[in-house]
Amino acid sequence: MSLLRLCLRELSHHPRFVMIFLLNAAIGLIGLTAVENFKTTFNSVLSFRSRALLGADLTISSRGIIPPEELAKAWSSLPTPYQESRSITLFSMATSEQESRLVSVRAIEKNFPFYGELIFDDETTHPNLAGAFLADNEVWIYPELALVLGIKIGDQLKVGDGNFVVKKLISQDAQQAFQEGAMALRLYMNHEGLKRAGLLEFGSTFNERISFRLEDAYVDRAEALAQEINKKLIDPGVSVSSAKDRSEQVGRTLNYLNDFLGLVSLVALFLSSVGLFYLYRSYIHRRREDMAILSCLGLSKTKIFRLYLLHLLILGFCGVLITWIFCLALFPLLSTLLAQVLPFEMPAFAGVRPFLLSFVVGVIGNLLLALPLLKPLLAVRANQVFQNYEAQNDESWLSSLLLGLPWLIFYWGLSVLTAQSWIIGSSFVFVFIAVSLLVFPLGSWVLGKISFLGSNAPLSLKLSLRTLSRFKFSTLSLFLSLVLATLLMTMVPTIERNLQNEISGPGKDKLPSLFMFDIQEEQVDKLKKLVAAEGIELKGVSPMILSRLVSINNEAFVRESDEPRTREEEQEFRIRNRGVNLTFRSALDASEKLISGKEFSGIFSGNFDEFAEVSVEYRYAKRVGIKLGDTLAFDVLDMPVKAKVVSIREVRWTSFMPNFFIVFQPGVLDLAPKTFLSVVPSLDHETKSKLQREIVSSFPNVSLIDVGQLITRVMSIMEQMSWALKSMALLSMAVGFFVLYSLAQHQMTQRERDITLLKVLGLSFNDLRKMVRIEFLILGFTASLLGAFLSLFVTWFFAFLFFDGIWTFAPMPLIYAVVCVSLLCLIVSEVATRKSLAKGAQSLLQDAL
Amino acid sequence: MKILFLPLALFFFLNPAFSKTIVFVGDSLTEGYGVAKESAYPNLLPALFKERMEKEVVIVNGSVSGSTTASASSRFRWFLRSKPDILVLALGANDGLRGLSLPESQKNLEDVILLAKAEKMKIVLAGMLMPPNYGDDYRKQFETLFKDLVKKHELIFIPFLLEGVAGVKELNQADGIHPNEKGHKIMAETVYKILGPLL
Repeated sequence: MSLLRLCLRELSHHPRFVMIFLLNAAIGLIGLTAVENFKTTFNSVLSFRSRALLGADLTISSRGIIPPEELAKAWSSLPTPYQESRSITLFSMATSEQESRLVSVRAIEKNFPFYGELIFDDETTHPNLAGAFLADNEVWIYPELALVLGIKIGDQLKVGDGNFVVKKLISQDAQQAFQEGAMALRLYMNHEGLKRAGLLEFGSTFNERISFRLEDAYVDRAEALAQEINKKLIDPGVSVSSAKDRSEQVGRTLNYLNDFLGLVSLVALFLSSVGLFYLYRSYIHRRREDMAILSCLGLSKTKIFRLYLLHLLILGFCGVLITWIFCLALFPLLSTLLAQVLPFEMPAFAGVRPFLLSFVVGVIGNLLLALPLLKPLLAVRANQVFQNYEAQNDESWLSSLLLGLPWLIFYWGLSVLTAQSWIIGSSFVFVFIAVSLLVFPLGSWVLGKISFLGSNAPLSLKLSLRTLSRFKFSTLSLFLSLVLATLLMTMVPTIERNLQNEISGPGKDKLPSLFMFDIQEEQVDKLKKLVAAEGIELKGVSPMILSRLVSINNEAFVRESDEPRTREEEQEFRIRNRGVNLTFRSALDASEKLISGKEFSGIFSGNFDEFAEVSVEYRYAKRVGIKLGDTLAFDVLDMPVKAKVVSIREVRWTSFMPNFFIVFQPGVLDLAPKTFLSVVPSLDHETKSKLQREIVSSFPNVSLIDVGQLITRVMSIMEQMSWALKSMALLSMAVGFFVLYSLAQHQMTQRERDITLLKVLGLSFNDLRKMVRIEFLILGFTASLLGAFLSLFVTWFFAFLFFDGIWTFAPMPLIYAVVCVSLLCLIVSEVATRKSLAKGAQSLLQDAL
Repeated sequence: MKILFLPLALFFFLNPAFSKTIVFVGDSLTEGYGVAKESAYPNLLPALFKERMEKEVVIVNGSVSGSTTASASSRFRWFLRSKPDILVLALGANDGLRGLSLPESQKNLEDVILLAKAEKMKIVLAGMLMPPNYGDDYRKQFETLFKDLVKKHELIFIPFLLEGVAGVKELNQADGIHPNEKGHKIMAETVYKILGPLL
């Protein structure tokens, strides 16, 4: 008889078991496929939106013309084919018949931007504008510019030596940024127009930028390519940027999101694997009597191994098939449901990758699992099997480890591939192994002790404890699976909650609309009054004093050398010598949190021989190498100031309020020459325009930046990321519960025969129910408690590894997990016990296998 | 008599109390943005005066990166405590680059000039030019701002602080605006030529 026929016949003899097994296996795989599918979709949707800020996948730019030899390095490093577009940005004056204003001129080609678009007030868009790009004598301008210059569409505007016609008014520009063009309203023209204006001459200050759009297959590599090209560049004035560099906040959050989604994928991968491992191990263990019979009948051990390998292959393949069918039906439904709550559209499918992953885990993972699971069982003699001997006890740790090594290496590789990060994948595997190594011996020791505890206990408790300790390996295997599943499912919401605190904004009504700087000290009160007359309160009024950080702990921070330097050294040298802006205030702002140290002791004594107290922002402190208690020396306009770091604080930059890396206690810098920064909170368009005009006319020196549109755009991306975090956390929780359900459910099907035997032996229904209830409650509660407790350490470890140490104690997800897992185990055992007890003993003994 | 005169002359010459104090009120170009404090052109001057003219000078650099003429007067008041003999007023570039109101910038500079005049100080005004991308009209208006002040208040004038430096890649930092160490050396020479005769 061929192995295949033998295998199929054996499977067909246990249809109920096979069906339950396949459904349980599919649950984990469906979860993995769903998480991977929506992770990929979220990533691509949000990456697209962040790329719109740059208008390209990556850009190379330079102050002045990009040196040809540097541009050649970019060309040779980019995977072909790619599209490119050249733009020039410069400041100039635009003059109408009535007014003259500073403008940010941007000369572009027809194909720019590659991502995002310009939306005009007539609701047409560029680059989708049907055949109508800018003519040489035409410009597109921001409506605010039209307002201040007193012009409208069709009017003339003089820029440099050229006269231009205003063709369209731009209502939305995805590439509006803090850096260039932030101080001035933007005006678009084409390159011929720029020549007509005669603005590019010797001595002109301008930026040249070449934007690239990569083929879809390379888009995800844009950041790595930008880094790679940057390393090759020599000229410090040339830089290559990817979308993530465009907005530090968006970039950092995108990195967090990427790492978070990588972790979620791993959680889903390991959850489904924990489920599969448990199921397959149970399956193989249940089949050990069949193996012994086949061996007695003369089938060689190699053939038995092959037979059960085929079992696993068929079961795995069928499980994957069920997963695929289910996912094909489920995803469009999920996508429709998500579309109702998400602020953006989500395609239902993200390609074949998630489906391939479920195949790799469900089928190939299975085959590699066969060796460590089957080999020890085959080594057991038939008489031992029928004595209900736990075969694994004979196996040495070393041989188990060696047999499991290929599986372990496979999962390591798979983890790195799934997380798309070497560090995340590896550290996850490390944590997983560490937790398993901790739980297994600990659990083994505990189980060894508990059988003695129940000797004088009531019958149901005594039976429960004996069952747990008698099937030690089986109990431990379930216990470990429950611990890991709880750990995994609580990990994601805990990290999500921490990240949400980091990226959430202050609410639309609290976002600033105008940012002001260069306010003179004597103007502050007058400006407050002017703004208050409109019923608005000026926010975040902060003094700003320029200084140089001279030394940290008496070691020179500024560099004094004009030796030839590398590009990186040159950049580092300039940064250190650029000076640092200081401010002073008495207490923390609402957007700040003390990480270490203490608040200021009060007002400075006035004795400049003593150290003044300073607080340093933690990312800056990390970058520059400042620690709590360090002494810093500043040069404030030729006056030496000594300070001691009394606190390291975290600043939530998403509040978009003015803030500083270094804050002094009051009384030190109060008399130093300074200017002030401030913001005007969110306003409607008319009030904002009116206020802008009034400020410009009363305080002509104050520079105003309209940040409303930009911040709204950045916040909208952040909001979408926040939704992505929430959805993925919920999805992984759901996967976790399904896997836990499948584990508990499967354990119950395994226990059915024991329950029936006890029933036949005369144990009352009540005692039986109590026994199972206690058994599952002990397992569920202790495993979930340990899993939740471990997740505290694991999330802390990952927070410091990947999320800049953003970690706060969040007990709620842990409490929910412990309660829910215990309840789930209880409910599953209750339902299954009722079902078993309702059946006749004969039927249970027949299909218990 | 000669015996008495020589020590007296030496005393006046060498004693810091009798050396001239020059205060610079400027922006990033004078503050030395991106270069070490000692490499900024005002701080290169004492060595030049000592070496070429054997004169001691005390430099007070009250320049702030990014500053406009609006802060000039309050800053200058702060540095009046150092009892300067000469004021080098090197502001206005940021006003021009930000497109601020030029008459207002002129008024701010004039406030400082009047203050310095009241203190009987010698005043050197450092002129700036706008880059060609700001258009001819605006460049002319900006240039006139300085020339008008020089004429009205009979000031000593440095026509262009960045003479020989602006637009030369080798003399500027990567941003193309701020001079590097080599650029500051040339600026120091430019300013030295004007300040030398005043000492």
